[in-house]
Amino acid sequence: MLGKLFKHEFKETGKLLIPLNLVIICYTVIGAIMLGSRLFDDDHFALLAASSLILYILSIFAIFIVTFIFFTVRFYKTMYSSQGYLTHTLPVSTGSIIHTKVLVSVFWVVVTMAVTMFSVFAMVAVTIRTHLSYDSFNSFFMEFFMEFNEEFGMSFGSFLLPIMLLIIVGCFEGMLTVYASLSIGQLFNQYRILAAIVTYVIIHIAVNIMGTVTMFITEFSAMDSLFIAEEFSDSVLGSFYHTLFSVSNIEHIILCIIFYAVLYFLTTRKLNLE
Amino acid sequence: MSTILECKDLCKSYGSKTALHNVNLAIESGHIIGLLGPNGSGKTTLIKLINGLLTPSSGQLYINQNPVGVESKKIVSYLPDHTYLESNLRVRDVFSYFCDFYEDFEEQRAYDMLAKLNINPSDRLKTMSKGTKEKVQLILVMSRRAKLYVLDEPIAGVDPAARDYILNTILSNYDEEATILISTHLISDIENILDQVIFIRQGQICLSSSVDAIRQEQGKSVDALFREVFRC
Repeated sequence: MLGKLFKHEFKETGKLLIPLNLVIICYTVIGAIMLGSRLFDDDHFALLAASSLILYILSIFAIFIVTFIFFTVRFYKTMYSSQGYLTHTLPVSTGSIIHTKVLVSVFWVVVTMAVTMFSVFAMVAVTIRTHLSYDSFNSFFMEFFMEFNEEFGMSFGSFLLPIMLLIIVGCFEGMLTVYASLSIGQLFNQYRILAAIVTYVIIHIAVNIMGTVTMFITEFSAMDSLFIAEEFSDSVLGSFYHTLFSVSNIEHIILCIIFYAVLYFLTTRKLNLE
Repeated sequence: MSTILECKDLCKSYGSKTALHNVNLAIESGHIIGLLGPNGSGKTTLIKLINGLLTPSSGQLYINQNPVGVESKKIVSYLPDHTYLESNLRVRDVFSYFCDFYEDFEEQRAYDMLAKLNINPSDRLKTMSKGTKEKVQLILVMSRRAKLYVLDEPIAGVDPAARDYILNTILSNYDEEATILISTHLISDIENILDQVIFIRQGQICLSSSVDAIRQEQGKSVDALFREVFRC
């Protein structure tokens, strides 16, 4: 049954998310062709170049906002509003329904982020490639990785890994905050959407304050080790960086677990459809 | 005959407002039962509790000896009192959805009923009239071989001809073993198909009797009795 839930959820959400990601890919291809053709080297095209870039950035923002709103509305409609009558009368456990909704939405957000990162990387690479010969293009990246390693005392990969992890955890937290807020909103007999929005804002502010406080405490205590170290070495900087991200990741994972528990408890035990 | 539905001291309140109060009820399988009461008497609340769309404030509810959950949902076929399907879907998409999730859904039967009404399976729900949408939902519900059918106001809001079609569909698609619980306030229209009636008033069951008993002992139709009991 879980497989069938996933199948239908992917089918329904793919109707919007596949075209949205294709838009990003189309932008990338067009952008790469324009950049590769050195069209923008000509000063006459400076305005076109600038407006294309602005359009590209705005479109990416719009795509993320649409994705976020789509999953919020879809979750509310299929779980706590009219379509909830179908969702909750299916012979499957409420837990499986929640797992499916959370995992599928996070999957699409992560995919859209990955496609966006690929898009930005592809355009940067094309720009560099057009202005450098093949050998120097390859050596550009080799040099970049080498210099990065020398400068910060860690490989580019180990620099990127905690950030990637934080992005994925952030996607889970982002969706779970919304879903938990909606599950609290549905407890009310009136003004359910308003209650969900207020809950979301409160959670958002609380999480931000908590994040800042933890970051401050971590930085403060980790900073000590930076000063205590007799020599300001690269390895100290590396460990400072990793401590910072580890604490942040753990904090966000704990928040995800709390939001998931709230969502699960309220939907299985306190369901209150209009 | 076994007990298909049992409520024990079932209560449901919304904040300070009590919707159901100490409902005790046992329904035997193989009957068509009318759940009758004026607007706001608690009919829909009871039906939502049976389907697990609300959680009881206190008390217990069993369907075929099981508490409300995956097992009960397998054998209950429910028609809500409003549209609950994504309006962008085509009829055949909804059929395949039901086919995937309900083992007792008979797809061919659903297509046959659709053909009789000249509804195109490729039509999207949003292009249909309210009455047609209700018919599609009824086809979905009655194409299941369920043990308990729960129909919430199935004939409200459709014309008399459509009412006849709906009642015929209900009668011709249900087998003797199954139980149908129909909630309505349009009693005269469905009186002829009912075996039993349950009167509900202000969240409490005030009468549970067979239709024959009402006719013989009180010498009245259910409609006449309803008008008498619920006189404003």
